[in-house]
Amino acid sequence: MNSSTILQAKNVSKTFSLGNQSFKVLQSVNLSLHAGSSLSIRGESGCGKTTLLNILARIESADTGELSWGDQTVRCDRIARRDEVARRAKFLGVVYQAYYLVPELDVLENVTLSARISGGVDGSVKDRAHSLLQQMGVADKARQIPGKLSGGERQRVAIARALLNCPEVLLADEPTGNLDERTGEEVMDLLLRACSEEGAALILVTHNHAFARATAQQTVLSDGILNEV
Amino acid sequence: MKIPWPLFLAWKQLFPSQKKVSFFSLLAVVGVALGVNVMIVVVAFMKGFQHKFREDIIDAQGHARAIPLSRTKEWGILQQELLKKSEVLAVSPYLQGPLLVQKKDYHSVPLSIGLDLSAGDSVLPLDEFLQNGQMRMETHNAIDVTPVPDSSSLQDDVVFVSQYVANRLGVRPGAILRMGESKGMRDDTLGVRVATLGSEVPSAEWELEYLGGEEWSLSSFGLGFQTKIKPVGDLLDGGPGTPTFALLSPFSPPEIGAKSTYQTFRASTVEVFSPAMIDRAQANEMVPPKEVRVGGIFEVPWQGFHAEAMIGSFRLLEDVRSSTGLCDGMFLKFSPEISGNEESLHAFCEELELSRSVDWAFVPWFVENAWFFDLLKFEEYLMILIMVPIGLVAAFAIAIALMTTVLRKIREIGLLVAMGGARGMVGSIFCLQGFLIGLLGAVLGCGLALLFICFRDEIMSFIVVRIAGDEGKTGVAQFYDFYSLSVPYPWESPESASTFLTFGVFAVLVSTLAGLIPAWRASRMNPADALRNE
Repeated sequence: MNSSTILQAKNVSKTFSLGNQSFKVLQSVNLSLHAGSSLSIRGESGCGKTTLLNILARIESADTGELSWGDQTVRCDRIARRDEVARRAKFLGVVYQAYYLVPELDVLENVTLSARISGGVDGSVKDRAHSLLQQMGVADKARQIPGKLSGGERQRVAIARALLNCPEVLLADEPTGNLDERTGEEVMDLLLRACSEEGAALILVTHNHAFARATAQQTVLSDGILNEV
Repeated sequence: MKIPWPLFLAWKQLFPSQKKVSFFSLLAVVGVALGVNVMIVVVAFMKGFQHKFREDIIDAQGHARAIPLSRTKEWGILQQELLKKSEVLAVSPYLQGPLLVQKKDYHSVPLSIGLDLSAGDSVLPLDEFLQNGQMRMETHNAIDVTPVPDSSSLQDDVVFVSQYVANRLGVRPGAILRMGESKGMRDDTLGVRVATLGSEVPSAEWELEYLGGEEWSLSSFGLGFQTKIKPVGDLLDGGPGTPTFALLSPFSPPEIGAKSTYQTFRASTVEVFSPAMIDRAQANEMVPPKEVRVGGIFEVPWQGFHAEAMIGSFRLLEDVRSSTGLCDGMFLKFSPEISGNEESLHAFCEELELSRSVDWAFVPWFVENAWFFDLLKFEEYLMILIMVPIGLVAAFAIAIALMTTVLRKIREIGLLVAMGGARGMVGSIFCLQGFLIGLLGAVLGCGLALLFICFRDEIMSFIVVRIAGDEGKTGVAQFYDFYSLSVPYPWESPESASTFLTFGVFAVLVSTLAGLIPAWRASRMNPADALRNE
């Protein structure tokens, strides 16, 4: 593995079974991402893009393959164990299409949630959260609950949350999928800018060609095979 | 302070930001609180009743009874030996058995107790019993000023009867009324009150007049009686067969010639027969009944005490039973160090029993009444047995609500795992919610129970008066003793504290357990599947 490679997957395969039928969603997928770089994955709905992200995040297991997080080889045939989840929380940030903000927490509490899970929330964490919310343009919503925010605002909060632990890699699964075109562009712009400022590598799953073109590497997942465009 | 994140999230799910309380949390906490409140109140009141019965029983028969296992005339020696012990405060030898009591055509067969009060304080609080049993006469032109009789008036020709016997035979002790224009006159206008009214005082009208200086005049026109009297100490005593008056303290002399009129009613007399006397009468022997006066009516709070009862002097019982020198037993009263707890009382009774060469059994009050307390305990356990399933129903409701929350929050569970939360920790959020509901419910329930105990009379009166009116309130007070019940606060009695603690901990445990199944279910979820959930 190249010394600047931050995330690498080799020959990752995954098959789902449904009754007697089996579906090969990933077939020997290879992927390599440099630190601070960006990569987009496009593909039809249900082609396995989210499954691939889940395997990279180790919340889902692959059947075969190898996975490296930074200079460390990790197992991809099983999800992260109790002693590995802390490492994941520091290494990866994830942004979902449906935001997944906790409705009972206010914006600031949502953003600091990952820090709370990994160790605790102190003054510096709160300062960083405020700074990220500022960067996302939603600093004035810090004490609002997610239910009172628009879709675009919720996704900005979700991005701030994903970036709080200064992850080396940010996985974004169709982050603009629920937003209108203009809001989607704004959010995408913020996401790319934030990744660039924070120095985080980005893997972006999207259907949007324009957004995909904004990344350094562009790939398409089709029939379980990931091809570079 | 660093709060563990599962606890933080559990709290936030129950009490979300920007919202005071969620409806589910409110219902769950109030449900647990009501359950805890009911359980504590019921058990605390059951214990209150037990405590009251214990006090009543001790009043009615002392801390223990010494019972001779064979007929003996040596009981006086034992009495003296017992009184020498510092742990023994009072010893009351007694004779007891059924006697036939007759008043004209009315009969009663009360359990009769003959008490020897010559050796100092009585074990039984006779004065208190007489106070409980006193009945005032209701008249439109006079007021009943009869003093409550006391144990000193228990002469050999005087008996005290229970209310039941008094009603059955239609008898009553002597009474004195202040009459006519004197009715409105306050005691302190004349400066005297009626001190004692002996059972030998005949029915008559009396006039008490202040003659000036220390001189008073007591006269009865009907009896042709008149005497001048001077106070001895603070007592104005006209001699045998007259009511005795006492100067009020501080005494301010009335105007010369001030007078007060009284009407006395003679105490009823009854005829007493013992079974031996009846046997002799059946053998055609001439047996005159023993005639005694009713000196007072008593009421014993302990319902286990015979309702049909009579108390006389030891010699009276000896006389009618023709059993000189015998004793049926002794009521014993011990110091608080001995009587304070059942173990030390039991041990002391055993020690007394072993140290006797003559056969005497020393039976503590709780052994003699074990059946009753077993019954009360059984009732208490039965109540708990009924209430615990109610608590479990509340737990099931909490479990179902939390399970629904788990289903509603499947994607959130996946997110927390994806963000680095261990699956066990994520599951514990739901267990902690159960714990928090239990804890808050227990605290609120204990608070409600304290309020209920504090305002129990007001609450009971409110309920009873609305259901049965003011008369119903009197009935409840008479039959349930609810108003005189001693229900201690947790800081006043370790037993009460333990009741609060037990049910508080029970609520917390059951609620926490109710959260276990949802927690287990949440921790078993695959995060990727959870995130895909629609």
